[in-house]
Amino acid sequence: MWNPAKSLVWRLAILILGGAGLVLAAVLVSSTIAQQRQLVKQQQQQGDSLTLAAVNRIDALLGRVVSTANSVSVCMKKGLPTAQDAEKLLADLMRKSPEINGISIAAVHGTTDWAPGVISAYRDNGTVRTRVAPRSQSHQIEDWYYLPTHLGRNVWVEPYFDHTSGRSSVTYSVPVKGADGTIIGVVTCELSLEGIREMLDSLDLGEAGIATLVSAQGVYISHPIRAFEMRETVYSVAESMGDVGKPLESLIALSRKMLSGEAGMSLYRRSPKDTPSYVYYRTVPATGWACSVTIPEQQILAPLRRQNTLNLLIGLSGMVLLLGAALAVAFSLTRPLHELAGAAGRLATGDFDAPLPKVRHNDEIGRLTSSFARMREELHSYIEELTTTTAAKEKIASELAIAHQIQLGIVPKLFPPFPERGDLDLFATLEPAREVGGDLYDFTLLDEDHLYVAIGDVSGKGVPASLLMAVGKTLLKSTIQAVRDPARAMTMVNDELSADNESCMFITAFCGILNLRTGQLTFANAGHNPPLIISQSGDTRFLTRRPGPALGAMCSVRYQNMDVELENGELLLLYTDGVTEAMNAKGELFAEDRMAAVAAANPKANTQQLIRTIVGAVTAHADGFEQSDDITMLAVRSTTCRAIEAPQPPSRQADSTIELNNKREELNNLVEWLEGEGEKLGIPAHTVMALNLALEEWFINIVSYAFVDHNLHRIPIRMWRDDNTILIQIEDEGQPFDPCAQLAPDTDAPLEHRRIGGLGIHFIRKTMDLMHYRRERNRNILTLAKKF
Amino acid sequence: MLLSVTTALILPCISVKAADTATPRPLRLVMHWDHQSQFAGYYMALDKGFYAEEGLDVSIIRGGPDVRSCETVAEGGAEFCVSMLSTAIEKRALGLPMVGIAQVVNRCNFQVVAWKKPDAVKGVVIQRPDQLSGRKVTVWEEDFRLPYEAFFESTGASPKLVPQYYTLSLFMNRGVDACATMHYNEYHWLLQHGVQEEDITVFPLWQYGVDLPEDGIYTTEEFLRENPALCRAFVRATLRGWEYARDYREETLDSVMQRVNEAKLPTNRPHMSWMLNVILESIFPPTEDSWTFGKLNKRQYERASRILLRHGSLKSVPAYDSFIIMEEAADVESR
Repeated sequence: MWNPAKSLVWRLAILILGGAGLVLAAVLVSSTIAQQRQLVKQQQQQGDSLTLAAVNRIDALLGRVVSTANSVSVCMKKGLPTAQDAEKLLADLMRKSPEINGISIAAVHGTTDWAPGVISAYRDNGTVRTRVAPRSQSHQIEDWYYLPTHLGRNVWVEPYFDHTSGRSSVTYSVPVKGADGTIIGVVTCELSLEGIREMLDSLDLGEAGIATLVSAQGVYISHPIRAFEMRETVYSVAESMGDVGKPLESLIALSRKMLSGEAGMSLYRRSPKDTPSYVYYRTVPATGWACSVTIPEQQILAPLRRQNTLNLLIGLSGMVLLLGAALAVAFSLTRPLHELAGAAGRLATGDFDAPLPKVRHNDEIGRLTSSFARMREELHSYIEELTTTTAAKEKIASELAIAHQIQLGIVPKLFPPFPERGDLDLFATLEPAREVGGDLYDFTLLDEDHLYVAIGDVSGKGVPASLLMAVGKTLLKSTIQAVRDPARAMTMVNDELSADNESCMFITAFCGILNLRTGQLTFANAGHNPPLIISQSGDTRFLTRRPGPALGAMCSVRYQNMDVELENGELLLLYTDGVTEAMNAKGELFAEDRMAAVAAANPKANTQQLIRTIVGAVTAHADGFEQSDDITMLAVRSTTCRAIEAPQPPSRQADSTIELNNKREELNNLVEWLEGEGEKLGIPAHTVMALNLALEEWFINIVSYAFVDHNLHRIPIRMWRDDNTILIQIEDEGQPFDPCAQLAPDTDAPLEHRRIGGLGIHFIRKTMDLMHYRRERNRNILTLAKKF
Repeated sequence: MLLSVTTALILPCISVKAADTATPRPLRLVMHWDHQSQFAGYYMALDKGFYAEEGLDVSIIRGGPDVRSCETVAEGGAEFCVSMLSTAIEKRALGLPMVGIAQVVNRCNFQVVAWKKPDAVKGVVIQRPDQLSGRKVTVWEEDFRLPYEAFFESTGASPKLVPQYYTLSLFMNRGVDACATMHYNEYHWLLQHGVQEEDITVFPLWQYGVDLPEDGIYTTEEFLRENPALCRAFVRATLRGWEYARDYREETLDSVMQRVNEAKLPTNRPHMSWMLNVILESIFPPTEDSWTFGKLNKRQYERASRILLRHGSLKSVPAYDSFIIMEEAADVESR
């Protein structure tokens, strides 16, 4: 989302406009304040002088009235003989003073000789006329007469509106005193206020400015609102403007100030919220009237407002132009940036072809664009390289994964492998290195007494190694199952592998068949590390007999079987060089000694515990250093196959002895001897029968297979009875043959496939309570025992 | 209020009856002074058609310094007039056949206003009427002089009395120390011409026992005798006009100002507003036992008479029963 506040363009524009606006505002404000002061000052001087001029003119007019009345008064004092004289005097004065509206003389009754009461001169359409009113009391109640006579002094009567003439006037009254001080009459001089009104109206006060004249009692003599004149007073107007029963205080205060006789200026606001007006006021000295000029501040400041409006418009237009210019510059600066940002955004999504802005100038932005283009190219080539490398790595990784799968998939992994065999404890482990080493192990029960174990290490790494390992393992197993002879199997496998071994890969291997009854291990070694044997007491020994060459290394090698007797409970440990050559960071090997020491320290441990312990020791030794070879071990321990000690014939002379030749015909002698001796020794008939069958079988076996020559050989048979056990020992000088090592025949297999002799030996094993074979002094010695 | 409502409800029935009688005879009512709020009720009775509703064809004649209302009626220039009670008593005593048929203004509005500090130099502060002794005081002439004479006599003041005419100019020029004023008129005029309340002391006459009822409606004995129903209808309509003036003061002021403007009188609306408010307070009783609206009872009459007998030049006064016939007002009261 594009945010204007974050756009460089707008920030730039706002910055420029804000700065310019501030400057403009500062200029406007300061000039306004200065001009305002100037204007107000000018207006004050102007208002002051206007008021003063108006008051002076009014005063001059009034002064003429006063002097006219006074001169009449003087004349009257001197004495006016007739009414005609008086009329003439008044008419003359009127003609001399055109501003005077009328002059009257009112005589106090009895003080003059005139019959009439009031003599007046007045204007009638510009013509001066005189009038003589008859004597009456009515004028005595009029202020012009009443006031001077009661006050005894000259007096300005309050202005009034004359309905007959339709004009407002003001009268000056002078009491005329006789020689004795008594008032003999009153002289009045009347001035029309029209002239004053017109003069005030003609003042140049602008549109909203007003000039007013109020009497000493606050009555409006002249006001732009004509209806106010002679009817409203400043106080009544204050009442109208104020609330009910509460006249407008501000106006009353102003009025009292105006009527106090001072001259001055007030800034008047009707209410605090109203716009103010400047009121200039001055008192007319003769009458105490107050003349005022009121100018609203708005009017004074109107030209300033107009100028300000104009300034503001010019300023704003300038700002708009400035904004345009600022935006143009800002856009020209930011357009390439914007395009660059877009290109960078597309770059982020993998688009390397987004167009870049053209480099127009070699300014910062131009250089940025060039740099960006360069960066993009480099990035592009780098990514291509990376892609290739990654693909290769992935390939390797997938190969490794396949190798792992092959390796791990091919070795038996279910432990314990023979849960029904309490006498057999076997455990194996294969911990592949990161780069698969091609180790293998294998085991299987050939029959219930014979266990096949093998371990191997393929030279080389990776998939080829694991493939060869798979081939080697499979070949070994299938061959050993067929021939039941480690040496022969190895020889055959070697021939197979070396026949077409272009890659020159080979396998060091160890394989053996463990007779679970006797503990005899028949094995062949093809260049593999010597297995370790650990006794229950913690003694260890390596099977360091000279090994043959590795499988596949060279053809036509004949491997030799070797035998070793495992004592009951002794443990056979097969391992690969991944264990002994495990290295730590310093390059130190784990070594056979340490392995043997670890094993010796745990003689009672079962196979799994022992292997875990050794693996733990290896891991501790490596201390995080990555191993380059697989760590593979196989441990086996047989515990029950020799539960009965190899029977030792009693040291005494045999109870019965017979020596037979290796002739089938001797069989009858054997039967005769056994039945006869059995009767003598008190052996039950069915036991004799079983013994008979077993002996017959073994005897025929010896006669048939033991001797490769055709010479006559002696076969001694001895018999002992111990309580209820019959012990029989048979010796021959034939080639070695261990019936115990023979696998149980496959009784389910077709008869022709069964191996010769197999069934007989099986029969002996089943019928005898014990069958023990040993070879001493180049003689096969078979011991049979039968209880009854 | 209840009174005015009931009046408004009942009057139309009466007016129908009155209108049936005949073509109405023109009736003239003459005031005793220039148009001003003092007569607002009469204007409203006319302007709002209350007289017409009674079947009366009334015209109002202005008063003024040149008009003497009782004489105008007595000489046949009008059928009804508005007059001060004291004036009417005097006229009747002098032989004019006046009878009062309604008493509109029941409270006395006469006052004396004195400068609180009359002497420029001496520090006298006028606070009591007797302090006016020896000082010049303007009071009105003729019948308006009576209440002041009574006031000064009862308060033991003996000022030098100077005649007072239409203006208070002598007082304003400090030619005298006190002057006569009406509360509803001149007192406020003073305030409107720059006099400040704190500069004057006011003595309302009623506070000193001179409690003379003022405006009433009068006609001649003969006219009343020949047209009793008409007189009653006239009074009813007039009092209704006053009730209207009380209830609709701004509208009433409009009517007053219209007449004032037509007569080009030098007054203004705030002054007329003051006058209307004060006169209404003098017409409608503030409490029930103050007086009866539109009516003058015998006790009030006799008290006024005593004041006039004691302080005036009258030797005798007319008897209440023959002079004040106020059944019409009683009508209003009973409703």
